[in-house]
Amino acid sequence: MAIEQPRPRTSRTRDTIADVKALARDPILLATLAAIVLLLSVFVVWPVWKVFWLSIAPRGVLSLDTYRYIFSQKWLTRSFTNSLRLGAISATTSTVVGFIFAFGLNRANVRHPGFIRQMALLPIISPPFMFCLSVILLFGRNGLITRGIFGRTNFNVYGLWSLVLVQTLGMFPIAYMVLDGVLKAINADLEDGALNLGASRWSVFTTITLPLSTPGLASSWLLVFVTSLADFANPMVLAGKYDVLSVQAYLQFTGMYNMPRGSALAILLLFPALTAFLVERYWVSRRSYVTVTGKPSMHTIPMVSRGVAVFCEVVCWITALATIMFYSVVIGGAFVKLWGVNWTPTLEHFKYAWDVGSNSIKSTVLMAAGATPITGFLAMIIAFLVVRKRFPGKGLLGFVSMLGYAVPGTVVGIGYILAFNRPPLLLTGTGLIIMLCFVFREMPVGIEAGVASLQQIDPAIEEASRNLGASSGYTFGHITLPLVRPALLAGLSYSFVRSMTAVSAVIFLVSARWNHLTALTLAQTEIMRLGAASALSIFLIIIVMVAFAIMRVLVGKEHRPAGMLPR
Amino acid sequence: MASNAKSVTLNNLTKVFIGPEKQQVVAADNVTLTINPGELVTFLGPSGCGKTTTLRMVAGFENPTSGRVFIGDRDVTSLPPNNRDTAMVFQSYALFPHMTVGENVAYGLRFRNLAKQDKQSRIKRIMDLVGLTGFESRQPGQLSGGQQQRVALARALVVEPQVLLFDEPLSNLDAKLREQMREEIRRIQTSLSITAIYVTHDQSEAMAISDRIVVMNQGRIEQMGTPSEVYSQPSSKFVADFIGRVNFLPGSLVGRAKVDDGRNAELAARLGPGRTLYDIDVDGRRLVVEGQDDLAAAAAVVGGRVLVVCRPEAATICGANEQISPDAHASGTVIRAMYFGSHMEYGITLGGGSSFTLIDFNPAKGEPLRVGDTAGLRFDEASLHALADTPAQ
Repeated sequence: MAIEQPRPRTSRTRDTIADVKALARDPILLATLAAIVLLLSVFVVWPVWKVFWLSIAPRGVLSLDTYRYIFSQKWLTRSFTNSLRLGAISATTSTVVGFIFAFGLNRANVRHPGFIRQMALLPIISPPFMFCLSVILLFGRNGLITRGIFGRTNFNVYGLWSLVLVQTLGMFPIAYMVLDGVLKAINADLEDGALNLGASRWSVFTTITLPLSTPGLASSWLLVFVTSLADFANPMVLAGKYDVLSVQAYLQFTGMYNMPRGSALAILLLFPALTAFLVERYWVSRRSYVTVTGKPSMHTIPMVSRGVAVFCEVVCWITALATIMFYSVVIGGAFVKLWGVNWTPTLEHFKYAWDVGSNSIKSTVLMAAGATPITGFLAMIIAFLVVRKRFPGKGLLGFVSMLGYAVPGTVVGIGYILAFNRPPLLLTGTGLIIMLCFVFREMPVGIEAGVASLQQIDPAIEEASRNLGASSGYTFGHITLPLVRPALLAGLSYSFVRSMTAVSAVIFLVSARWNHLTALTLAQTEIMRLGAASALSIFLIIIVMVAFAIMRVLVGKEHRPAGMLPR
Repeated sequence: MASNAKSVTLNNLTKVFIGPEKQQVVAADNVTLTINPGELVTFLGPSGCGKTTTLRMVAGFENPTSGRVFIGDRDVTSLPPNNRDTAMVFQSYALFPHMTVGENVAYGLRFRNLAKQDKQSRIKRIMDLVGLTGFESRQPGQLSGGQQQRVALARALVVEPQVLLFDEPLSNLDAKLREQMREEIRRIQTSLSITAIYVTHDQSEAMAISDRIVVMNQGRIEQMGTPSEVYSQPSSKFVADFIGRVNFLPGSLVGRAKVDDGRNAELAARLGPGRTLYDIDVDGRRLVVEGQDDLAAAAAVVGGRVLVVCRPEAATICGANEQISPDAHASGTVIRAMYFGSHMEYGITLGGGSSFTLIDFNPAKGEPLRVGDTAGLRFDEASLHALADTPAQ
């Protein structure tokens, strides 16, 4: 019998052992890590697992019956292909519009760049189905354009192309933000150099600018694709007969009480979303050529011809004006008696909205405001651990904490219902479950903000503090936190807004006692009380604006980054 | 200020990193040395030689893979950085950008039990010492690079550490300021007689401020010695090449030189006791050169090949063209002649084909050589140094 030789310890395991030893020496770090791992397991991994488990074991034993049924029914498989088609079209249109905005602002010198940029960012903080309301008010049965201008009452606004329109207007900012960063990071010297070597401006664009932007374009496409797949609010209102997975999963789960089928549809939704997210994160983003040199680069001559500049300008202005028009009709809709029929100005929608909604508004603000600091604190700790500390399983921790980006809200909502419906974690029907949902869904945004700002801070600054005698906790509180405060608060205000405007997961979790403003707005839209829905949307806009104003005061003046040399 | 100086001892200190491709990188390889109380020792070497890693292991920012670190008699190997009583001046200064200059300097005193007046008098004295009195309420961002450097120095000094650590502190300053600051650092360090470790890749900086220099290469100590030792008696080709400029004259070892004859005795007397003289044949000319004790043994292994280290200023010109002196050790053609004011620098191709750099001070006297001239060279034998010609590692 062969005696197994003890394998020599590889240096990798030796390294891991050294990491573990270092952990053992730092009990605070160890305890923090344990707590984070526990929280992530319970509130991120477990709910998703519950959804998956119910879909493959509807009666407690493994069975693929649910999936077999779904794939045998055309009306169910169609919602899968519909979701993918909608995602692909919206991702493409959003990326095109986003690129034109980024290119126009960074290369084509469009006029009033400040205004255009504001318009590109406004949809991010807009209430959900706000644009749906606008589309119905403009193109619906009593639509301002369809009926008012063209006198048509049989125009069917519901379906794929309306969804593409509202999703593009709502999601092109994602593409814009990605591509704006990419174009800014391309060193102007590269393009100037190509011009200098004799390339025409068009050649510069096709041989330098576009190839260098390709990873960014792919990132933007995939991110919008994931967002569109996960979108619940717009298809719920505007899809008509165009079934999509997120809506179908919701209807099966809450309407038909077919929990296994709802879960299986949610898993079918999770699959492409997760794939696109992973491709973006671990493949596309690693292919970026863009490096930050820390040297500002400026174009002094316009890099585009007159025609291209005009084209960019026209696209930017049409989009901006559409956004403004969409906002205006919602505001207008809240102030007239019956849109398209009776234009008498009135405040009765506001009175009604306040009567039915004041409790929801209070609970929504309470839950969002309560969740935000917890989100920020957890996100900051995780960002700090990921950027600055060494410990085994760090990659996995980073991955799980970022999952909130990838997992569609529908999956999270169903998961929370399934996971937290019995003691000791009997949370369904409480406000706490909604707050927890906010915390773990919005955490990735905070983590991203924290990671980005921590990477800007020279680790030597923290080392200096340790070296002069401060403990790691003191250093975190007195050096690290104050330095990342502006970025942290900005991230927090964004996560507050996202909590205020959340729908897809929250719709599963609301109860009569703990309702959410968006769920209420959705209900009003469904019963075609568009005036009330508009008024509720305006309440939401006002709350969001106030939150941003408060945040601006809190952030205060920024510190000059001294002693932070690029590394 | 009472001297708090402690010795620093590193025992077989080794640090192995896992590189990005999972390969092992030995950043520090069995580093063993002792730094005496009050001494300023420089870790000098090319980037990636392990000097910063070694410094960071002293500060406690890196855990050694094996080996131990002592400050005085205390084994600090497993102590966290905040319990080590070292103070570091960082390459990037690492000033806290959200604090004023005064708050930056006072920061380390928060963790030391001192009466308030003591703290204030210490801060005042240090601000005086580094010439920053009056800048207390400024933000670090409002200061110039040199002033930020002084704040970083003051912040480290004010805690009166047992060991002061410098991680390439001057590399972000321009050349002139760098020279000024290094003099100031040396002045302050000697006046406080604080033990200091100074990491740099700039050999002239190391020469200017060190009591002793540790030359490092690929994680190992190549040589440790006073500036003059590492310059005039380098222990390896690497050290000779890294410190200053150098010519290597290939030769073969004839044997130990007899020191009873008049000229060699005079040479031995000039070099001082404890040095071994060798007879070395360079291109047919016999030179008497000082070398390592074990040179004969080391050279024997590779067939008697040795390298004679000759600094550019250790050779003089003795006649040109038709008037080359018969005393000349070598001759060659001038291929480069550059005027630097204080000196001329010549590039000369020797008879054997190797190139030689020669520095001639005081070029004002006499006619300088021109490109194309043939020049006679005479080596100052007391300034030469012989090394075994082992194949490069």
